[in-house]
Amino acid sequence: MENRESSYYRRDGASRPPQRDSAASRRESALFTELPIDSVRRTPSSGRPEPEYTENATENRRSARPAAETGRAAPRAVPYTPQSRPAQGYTDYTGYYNNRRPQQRQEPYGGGSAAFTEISWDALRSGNLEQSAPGNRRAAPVQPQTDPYGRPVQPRRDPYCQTAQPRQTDPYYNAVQQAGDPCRRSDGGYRQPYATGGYRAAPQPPEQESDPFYGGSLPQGEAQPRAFAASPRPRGDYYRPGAVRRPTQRPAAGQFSGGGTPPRRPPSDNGGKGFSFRLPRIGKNRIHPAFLLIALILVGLLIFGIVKLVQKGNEKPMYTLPSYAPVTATPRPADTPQPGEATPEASAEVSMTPKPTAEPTPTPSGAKAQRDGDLIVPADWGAIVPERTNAVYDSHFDRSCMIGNSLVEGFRMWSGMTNMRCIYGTGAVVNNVLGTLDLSPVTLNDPDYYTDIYLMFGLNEVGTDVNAFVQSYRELIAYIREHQTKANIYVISVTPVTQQVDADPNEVQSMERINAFNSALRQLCADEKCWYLDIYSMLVDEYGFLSSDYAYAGDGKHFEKSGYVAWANYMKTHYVDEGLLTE
Amino acid sequence: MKKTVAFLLAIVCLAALLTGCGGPKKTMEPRAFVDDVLANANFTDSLNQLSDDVVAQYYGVDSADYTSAIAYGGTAATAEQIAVFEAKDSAAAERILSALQTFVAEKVEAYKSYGPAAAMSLENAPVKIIGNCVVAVVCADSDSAVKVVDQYA
Repeated sequence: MENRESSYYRRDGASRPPQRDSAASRRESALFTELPIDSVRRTPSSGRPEPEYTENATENRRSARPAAETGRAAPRAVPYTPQSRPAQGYTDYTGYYNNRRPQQRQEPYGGGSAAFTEISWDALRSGNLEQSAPGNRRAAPVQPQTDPYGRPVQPRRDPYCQTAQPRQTDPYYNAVQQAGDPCRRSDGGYRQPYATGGYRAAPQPPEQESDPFYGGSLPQGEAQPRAFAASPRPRGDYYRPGAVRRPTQRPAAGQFSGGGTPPRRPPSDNGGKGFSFRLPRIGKNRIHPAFLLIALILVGLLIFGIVKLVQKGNEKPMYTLPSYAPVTATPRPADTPQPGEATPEASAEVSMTPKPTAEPTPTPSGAKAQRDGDLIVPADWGAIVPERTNAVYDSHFDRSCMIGNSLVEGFRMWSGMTNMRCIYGTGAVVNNVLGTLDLSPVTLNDPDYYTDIYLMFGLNEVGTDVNAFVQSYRELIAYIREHQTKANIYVISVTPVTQQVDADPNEVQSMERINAFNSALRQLCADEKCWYLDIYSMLVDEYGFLSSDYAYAGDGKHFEKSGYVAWANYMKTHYVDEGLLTE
Repeated sequence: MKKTVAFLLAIVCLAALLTGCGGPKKTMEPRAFVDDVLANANFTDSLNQLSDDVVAQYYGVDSADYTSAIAYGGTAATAEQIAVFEAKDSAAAERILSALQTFVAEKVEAYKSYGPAAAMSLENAPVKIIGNCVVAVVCADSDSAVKVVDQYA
């Protein structure tokens, strides 16, 4: 690849020399090989004094000052101006500062320096340097690179262009001479070398506070030639460690040696492509924006899911149903209170009950019932609604009404006795039933409308005072009797609970309290001439707790559908009518 | 060309991803809906189907407003239940919806002092008209109920 050693002609316009024909190129090449540069310098053809150059770069830079100041004869009457200075800070392709070679080679963008270059090389051949570069004669020492034998040396490899071709053999250069540089963009950027594909903006030069042209700091008060602007280190296939960066930011308009205002690319300009964003790479290829977008969305969804999981994990349930262990057969004598369960106050409250156990269902007997006006009332206090030999149809309950708590709601749903009116409330208690339940069907109907009214309270009140409970019950019965004068009133027993609820100290329902309340209700029925419907005995198992056949395991107090159905069937065989008086 | 194809593929993948989150809407059919709710909503109570003559009475809905109804109720220990009424027309659907909303509101008041968790599940219960059906799903895990109901158009 010897043809890639040349660094004169890059594919980016920054270091590419001005357009010239191939003939001129050949002439220049011939000049390098055939005409020793020293002979050109030392043989002035015009008779004019040749400018003196020293090896000191600073001296060369100051050499444009007036002669009176330097003590030398001014080669020409050109005052020192910034324009007369060489292009500042540009290093050539080989890394040499441009005071070692014709500076026009290093002019980025090529603007305004082409003519000088042409003239300069012509002047080299003719020896008329004064005519060639009026403003840069002293600033541009014509010092081609030569070896110790005076032969021109091959330019070094361009650190920015790995695909550089030797000048004479580079087909790209020849094509450029004819058709222009296809890699050059109108905004000053350049396409990347062919190997990488795509576009790339021209690399930005590094920011330097020192004089990049001569090295070291400039004197105070002198305008700092900021030929370089802040720029990241060239990346990718441009960069090679140790290479000298190519300056790309142009000097100010007044400092541009070739004159004119160079085109300035705004910082946010992306060659007319709007937002400039350099995508990350994977290997040699850049990530497609769509994949980047999808990746961002997936990451967002992942974060969202994690946050939701964390939030859900931190949530605490406001209410959890108690879990109940399977019922273990540990019979407990119902009439033997466990230590600590019965308080003195409770004993006083239940003193009216003869015994806290469930009363055995008495044998139905006509002697237990008697007529009291329009009512059929029990003959004594222990008159439990007896079991009848014939079950009644649902139509028996057409003029029946049941008032109670949530158990009545379950009865409504699962009993199948849709002809019975049910008035219920979740958590209803007897002491505020008049304020919480709508009893208008009872109070607004014909006083003779209902034949049977069932009352079911107590499960929500077993933790309260039994006497207050009974008193409230008594008031409710009186209220109903006031509006339904011919209805048999049934007081349904407080239903049992499971053993788990009974053993749970956090639950107010215990079998002992329930039995006490039931005993009080039986006494109430005797006093108020109501019927006591003992579904308690129907629901308990052999251990005296709510049977698992009926219990809803979720709370141990309500019933499954089977419990409500059993309750309805019980009512169909335990009823009061005229036949009870004769049976 | 290569980039264009890659971009289009990425868009297709993204669209598939986003549409997969929502899922297609299911057609409302009362029996399938109830089965779907029973299978995917997290109920704590043991639900059983109510008889037809109980449904209208229990929910306070005029039986003349619907052609069919499917309702599942619990043990009365909780407020969990499912009700789907296939309304005769849009006006009937509105009446059924109003009755169900009243039913739920009364339940909320009743459960506020009895069971705060049940009251919350009632407040978050989806009660809405889907097609020609009016549905009400009260579940302790109201989020799962809402998720199932939202799948139906």
